[in-house]
Amino acid sequence: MDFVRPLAVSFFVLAASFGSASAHGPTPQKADEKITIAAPPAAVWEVIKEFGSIGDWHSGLAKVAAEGGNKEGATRTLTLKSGGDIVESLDAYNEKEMSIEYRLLKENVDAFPVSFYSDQISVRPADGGSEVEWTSRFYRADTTNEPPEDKNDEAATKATTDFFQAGLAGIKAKAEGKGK
Amino acid sequence: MRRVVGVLAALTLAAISAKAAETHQAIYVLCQDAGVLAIIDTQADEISARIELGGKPASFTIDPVSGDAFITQPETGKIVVADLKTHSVVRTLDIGGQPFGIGVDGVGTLYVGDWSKDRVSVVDAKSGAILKSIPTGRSPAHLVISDDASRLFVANREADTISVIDTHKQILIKEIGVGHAPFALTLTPDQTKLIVANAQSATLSIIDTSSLTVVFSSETRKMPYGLAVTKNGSQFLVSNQASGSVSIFDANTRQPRAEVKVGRYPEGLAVIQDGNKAYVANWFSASVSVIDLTTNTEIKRIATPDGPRGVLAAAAPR
Repeated sequence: MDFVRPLAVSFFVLAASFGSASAHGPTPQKADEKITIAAPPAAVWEVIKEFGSIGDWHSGLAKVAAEGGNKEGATRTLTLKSGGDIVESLDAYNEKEMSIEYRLLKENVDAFPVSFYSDQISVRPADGGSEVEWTSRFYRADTTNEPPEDKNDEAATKATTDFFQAGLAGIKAKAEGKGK
Repeated sequence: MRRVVGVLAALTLAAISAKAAETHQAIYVLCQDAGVLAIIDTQADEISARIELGGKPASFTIDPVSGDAFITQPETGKIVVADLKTHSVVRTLDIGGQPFGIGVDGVGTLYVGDWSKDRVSVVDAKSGAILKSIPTGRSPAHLVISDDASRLFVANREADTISVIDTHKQILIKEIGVGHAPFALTLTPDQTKLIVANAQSATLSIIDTSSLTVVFSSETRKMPYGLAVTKNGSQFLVSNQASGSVSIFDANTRQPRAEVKVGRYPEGLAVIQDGNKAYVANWFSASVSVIDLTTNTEIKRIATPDGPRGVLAAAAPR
């Protein structure tokens, strides 16, 4: 277990270059979306396991620019079809548990009304096929006590839920052989 | 002679353990989504009582003198005061702003961080009057007061710093740079070190409380959100939100000696002094994991009201 190593200076350089990627309010919200898929877990995992491959199965993305593969700290820049870029970074890649944890690194609350999130996507066996679960812990875009309607908890919850549902439908289609 | 000393030592130990048994601790779990402060009996490891607070309480402290809990509600600008003996809300202090981190000095003064106004308010615990405001760095998260109540340490999440405040003079004496997004912090029992968990850089910073400098930094698991030190100071614990685990560090070598899987998105944690157990709030799972620190294993998972975040150990109410 070598996860404690001398502090890497690069952390601070990376952090500083992205500024306040975490305007962060006091009440986190939660999303939890699931889908069942008629394909073995290994086949479903094959579809989603590359952190940078989200553009192959998520219909809401126009473009994805990924760096760093599946290493901790790898990034992917998502260009939304509705406009705007957000940047995510990989926190944990667990082949054995078929699970990926990542977070929002650079927010763009006008494109996606969430100021910070920490997400997990995982595959497990279910009813002879698979289940994919996608979870999020997130904060609304405007974390003051009087957020406007497009930047409140409801807007953040809707954006996250919609994004997850579209993505899960894409994973299902691809894993069941009907996808793009 | 040696035998006499041995007998005396045994008697002293017996007296200490008898005293420890008398003052066994409860675990208090603040559940933000449910608006409830739940009390766990640490002998049965079950919820023995719950106090309805309402709203979305974010953080709390317990005054060891009065036995009252002071709970911040950022979205209403209020502090709810709960009597832990009667399990009832006794008053509400309307201080305004976005109160988040909170500490009490034992003589009736509260220190309350304001998330969006970047300051700590000094508040009369009885009347709720704001006696003074002391500027901090951006987005003060959790804060901690030294046992002698002379120093206040505030984690400034968006400034990547710790503000050190002299509570007698009520002035800022130093702002210390740490990792990215410091959120949780705790003092060692001997008060000589402050341990800080930096959520975004996934690092720990250890500050010497005399020289007020960072004397040690290291990487840890991703998204560290909670910290606790065992009462004898030999181990410290870090909750890792991204990996759903608690890391247990040797305080001397400052190296991890174990990692225990818990529920999802763990946050606040606390260690009780009698029983060698730690309790961690699994925010997403709505549960508390009980960790046996002799075997470093999760021995129980207790269902809680929704959104458990803050956990404190304190004397059990009688």
